[in-house]
Amino acid sequence: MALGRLGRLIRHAWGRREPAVEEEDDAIIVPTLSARMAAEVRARKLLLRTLNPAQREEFETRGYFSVQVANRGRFWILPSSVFNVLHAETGTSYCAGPRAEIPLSDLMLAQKLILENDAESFFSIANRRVELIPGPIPEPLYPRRVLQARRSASARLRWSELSMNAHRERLR
Amino acid sequence: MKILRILDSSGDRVIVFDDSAAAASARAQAQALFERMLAGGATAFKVNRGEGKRDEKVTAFSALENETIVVPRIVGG
Repeated sequence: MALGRLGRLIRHAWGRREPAVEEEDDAIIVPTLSARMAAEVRARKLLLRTLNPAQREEFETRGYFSVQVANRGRFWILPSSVFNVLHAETGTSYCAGPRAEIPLSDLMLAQKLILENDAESFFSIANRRVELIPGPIPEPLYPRRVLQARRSASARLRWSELSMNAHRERLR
Repeated sequence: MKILRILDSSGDRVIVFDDSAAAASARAQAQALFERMLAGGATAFKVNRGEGKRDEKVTAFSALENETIVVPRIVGG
């Protein structure tokens, strides 16, 4: 199918236009993407309806919100599918969520419900890692700092990979 | 009218039922699904309860209120 598409592009470039037909590849991909987008929209509505007013305001203005966990303090729930539960005091990130594939907003909702009502079941299975050292920056900036650091870390990784490829022969 | 929401890849699957005889089939379906999911490690929460009531974990089908969200079994990521 990809070759057919390439063929049509090549023929078009050479001035031989094909009849206006829909791409077969798109017919396969688009419904999947639209279904996922529809699921995310649906999940976001449910999340917004279930957050308390303060959390809703946080989420709508910043894209993340905080939950208060009995005997453990405050945690941020970030818009990320991994290690997205961040302890506001220690800077430790936790990772646990439903095994089933669900939209991101559903993941955030599930984590909110579990942390507020059944926290020990979350902490008993969650993987954890230290994401930042508390202190140098004000606590309210932790979530943004973590998200920024993750983005720049992935950029460095890509650059590193490019550099390694360029010198691959010398490394052998 | 009670709503049971099971989080899934579509966002959530919804079953609406009540205590009337007309909704017996939907109620039985909801109960079977609720109990099967909890037996498999899922957790259910009563949400949007009104009157300022907090969300609450629920384990018995008979204790469901207006709206319940079932979270599939969680695992460490």
